[in-house]
Amino acid sequence: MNLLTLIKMQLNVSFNWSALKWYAKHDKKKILGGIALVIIVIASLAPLYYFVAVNFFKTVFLSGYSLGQPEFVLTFAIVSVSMLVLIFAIPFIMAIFYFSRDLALLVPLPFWPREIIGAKFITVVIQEYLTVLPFMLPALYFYGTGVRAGLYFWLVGALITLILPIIPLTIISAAILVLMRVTNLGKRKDLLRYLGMTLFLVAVLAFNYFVTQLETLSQEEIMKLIFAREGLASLVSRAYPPALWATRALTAQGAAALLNLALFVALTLVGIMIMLFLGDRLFYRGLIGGDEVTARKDISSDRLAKGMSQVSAPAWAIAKREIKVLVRTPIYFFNSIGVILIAPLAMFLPLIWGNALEPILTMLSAVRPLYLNLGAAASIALVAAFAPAASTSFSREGKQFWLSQVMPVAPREQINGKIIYSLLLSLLGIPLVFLASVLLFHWNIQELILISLVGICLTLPSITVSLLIDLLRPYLTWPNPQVAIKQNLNAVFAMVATGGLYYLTYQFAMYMMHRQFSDLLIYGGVAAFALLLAAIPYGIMVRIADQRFREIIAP
Amino acid sequence: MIKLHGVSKSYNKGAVKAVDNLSLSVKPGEIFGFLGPNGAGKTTTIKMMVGLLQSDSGTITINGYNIEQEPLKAKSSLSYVPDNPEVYEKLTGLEYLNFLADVYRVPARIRKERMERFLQLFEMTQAVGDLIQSYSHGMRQKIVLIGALLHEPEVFILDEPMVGLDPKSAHNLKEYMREHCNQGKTVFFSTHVLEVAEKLCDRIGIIRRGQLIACGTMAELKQQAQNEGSLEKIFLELTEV
Repeated sequence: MNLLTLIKMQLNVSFNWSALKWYAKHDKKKILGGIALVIIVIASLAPLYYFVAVNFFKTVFLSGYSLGQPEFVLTFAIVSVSMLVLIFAIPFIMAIFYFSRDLALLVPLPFWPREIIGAKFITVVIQEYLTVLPFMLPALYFYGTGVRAGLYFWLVGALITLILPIIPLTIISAAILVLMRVTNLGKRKDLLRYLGMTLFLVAVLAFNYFVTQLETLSQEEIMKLIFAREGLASLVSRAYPPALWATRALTAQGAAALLNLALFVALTLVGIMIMLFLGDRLFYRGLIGGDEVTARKDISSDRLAKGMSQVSAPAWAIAKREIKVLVRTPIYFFNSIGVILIAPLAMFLPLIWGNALEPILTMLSAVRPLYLNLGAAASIALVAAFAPAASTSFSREGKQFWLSQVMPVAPREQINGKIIYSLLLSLLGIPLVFLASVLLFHWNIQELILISLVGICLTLPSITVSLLIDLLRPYLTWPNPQVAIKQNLNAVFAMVATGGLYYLTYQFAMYMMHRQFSDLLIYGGVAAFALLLAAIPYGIMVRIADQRFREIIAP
Repeated sequence: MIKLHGVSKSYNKGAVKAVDNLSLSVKPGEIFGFLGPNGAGKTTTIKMMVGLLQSDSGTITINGYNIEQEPLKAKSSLSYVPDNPEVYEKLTGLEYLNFLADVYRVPARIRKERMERFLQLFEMTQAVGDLIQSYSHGMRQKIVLIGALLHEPEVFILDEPMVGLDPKSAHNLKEYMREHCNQGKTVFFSTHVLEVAEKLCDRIGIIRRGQLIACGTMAELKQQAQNEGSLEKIFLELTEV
């Protein structure tokens, strides 16, 4: 009974049920605004999802179907979604199990550790459906309608979709429970978080490597697989064997189907049991280690004197504060700086592993330098645009926002500090361009300077529009930093708005090229256009900042 | 130094009146204690005084500056210590203090001298190089206090400042508050520790359901309550429904 209460409470807190009910009763405007926002997000992402993901699954189904292997789309979706859950849930599980603020409240209550772990695990599973459904629904739909499947298929399909994220989540949970206890690094919470993130990075690259190895099979091997029964499905499920059981549970006949379903469900249950067993034995010990405080190190008088004499202008002090907090909070670090560094690696490494670089370089050598240079400048901006550093800048202040409100620094100057910090982060993309120059494109120094300058100008619209969005609706009441940056709709809105601004910039560049302006004029024009686009959200921010700083209620 | 005139604030579209037509003034050189039961409106009043909340009506003046019309000038004259010391956990104590000194524009030489003095006063010198996340509640409270004192504010506003402080630090803080006021500056603080208010404050205001129900020196309060007892007795009598 207690366990049910705990689960209910965890679900309530995770999905803000009570708050939603309260607003529905007392502040209808707010709830309607929230619903409208969700609709806007879905509406802005739906076309992209339809054209990219749905059509992709249709193509996968048709390709498999034409080879007599229609089930391939199911295995492909199950493997993809399981790998995604496996990779992306690592920091999530770490944050929910070990760094939630409610743990200080829950641990002294009369619950077994397995009950706390179990209740938190259920909330994670439910949140993972956001990853599972976009993959499984089109795969089930195309297969089910394509082979005219019966009721059994749809029922088992629903069951498998519901339990699909559990196996990868139990694997991660068990690994994290063991890691927290065995390595005994609990007192260094941040080190652990970085370790988790490194695991995440290794998993991403391993996944990439796996995918590229699939592409580099010899012609003979590919032919063999194409014509073998369940050949493609067996190949893809090598990365995640339970996927084959799930596929067979959906596609086989009679007892074979039931046997495979039983295997898949049994493995899911075993995963849960192992996790709960480990939870009972390891959770509290790892957790209590996390609350131990390290011995204080005395600060030397020299360091103290030096530290006390460092003076900065307020805007620069704010930029420094933002950078320090970002770098020292692993979740923030990984999601902003990590993205800037990992995204290009994740793009390049598969090309190198897959021996695909050479043909691409040959193709690019025929491209007009102007296009290539503008593309490189755009990549600096795009990489920065994917990092939610600016779009969650106000939100990340959370309960500390009161400091920004009481300090005698004009909101405009505080915004300037945040722009400086965001710009400094985006400069991290420039060394990557230099690296690409050394390894691939061999740009001369003038070109490198030009690319960097245009790149910096192009990052500014993304920074100012992202800050504006976050200033308009800062999310300050987050329970842990993971939520502040990963479950913050402002990051999605900022990406959509940035996409719009970059589309306008692209159209402007195309117009200039069409009118056959000189290359230099085009570079200058694109940079000036970007600065103009950046100035608009900046101007709005400056106009509303004083009022917004007064209106926002710090939690 | 501090003037509140007809200040009101309500929540839930007027359903809950947190502060109701509150007027009071605190003179230079005065320590003013702000008392009231839980939920009486103390923190809401303080938050409006420092610019964290907007009042629905009325005016608040700090050191001659209206907090809504000249917020930066008002904020430059005041320092605020909240009831819950939420500060940047990922900064070291020293970085946090330097950050505040930067935003309050305290020159290098002065900030060094003041940091040394206050760090010593609150026995934080050894801990100042550590990340704030490793601090206890009391240490966080002390680092917030030190940060608030760096620019030697004309008006020092504190919400429940004694909570979490060890006896020595609480004593040092009280001494400092007195010294601060002796220089002609002002201290305004809320507290539930009535003995502290009785001994330390020049004047005391008692708020109940958003309204100031009594205000004055101890002698004046006794007269208003027609009670010659302690502040505790007067408080209980006045705040009883």
